[in-house]
Amino acid sequence: MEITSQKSGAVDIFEIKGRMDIAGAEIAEKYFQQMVQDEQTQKNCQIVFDLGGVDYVSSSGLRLFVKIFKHVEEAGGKLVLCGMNIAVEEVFQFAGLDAVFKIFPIRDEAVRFFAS
Amino acid sequence: MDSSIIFFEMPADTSLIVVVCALVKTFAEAKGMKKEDSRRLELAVDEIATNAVMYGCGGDSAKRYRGEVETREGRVIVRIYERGPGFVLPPEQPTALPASIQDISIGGRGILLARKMTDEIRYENNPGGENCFTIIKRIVP
Repeated sequence: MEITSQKSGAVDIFEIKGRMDIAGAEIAEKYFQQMVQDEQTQKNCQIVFDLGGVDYVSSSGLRLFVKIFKHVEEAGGKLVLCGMNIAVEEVFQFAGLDAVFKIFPIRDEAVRFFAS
Repeated sequence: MDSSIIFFEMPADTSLIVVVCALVKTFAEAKGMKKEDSRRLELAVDEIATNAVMYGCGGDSAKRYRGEVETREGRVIVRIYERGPGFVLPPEQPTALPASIQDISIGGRGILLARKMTDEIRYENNPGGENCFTIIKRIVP
């Protein structure tokens, strides 16, 4: 599990790589812990999770994405996803979360969403 | 008729669930399951093994759970046994679109995914004994 972050204007981009099973989600949760707890960080924030490097996601990974999404959106921010491979996208679909998250095929489109 | 079986026993350690997943996936592919189907089976096994570790064994890495994977009549059958308090397998329900962000549940999608990814799951609750989760997926050439 590897997470890197960068800025594109006002948009925070987090590139997540690896296996998002329970072990990976535990590592990622520690990384995002401060963001989840800090309401000031979430307020009006614009976040892209680039999942291009995620080769596997289980319900433990979904749980973390939903938890962060709820915190961010309830505080007035926005979080979108991009770059999923077919297998990861299928898991989101089967869980009914493709209708909850805004999902873009590539990062540029996700960043442009905030500009619009 | 092809029939073979592998037994395994694991400590209830979340970091080792990937080993069970790899074992089942490799076994299923060796028996002719397509990669896209073995990936789905892997996810179902991941969900059920996670359930066994976190609830069956209470997340206590000193405890152990066991399982077996076999092929029978063109299907891969995985059984995972644990000695936890057990539970009632919830009935299958359609995934409903949440009306608001507050309505989105954070967790509880493991059984749903295990069902969607396989042909059949069963749960046998044996109070005082071993509970058994069975996962079945057909080998489609």
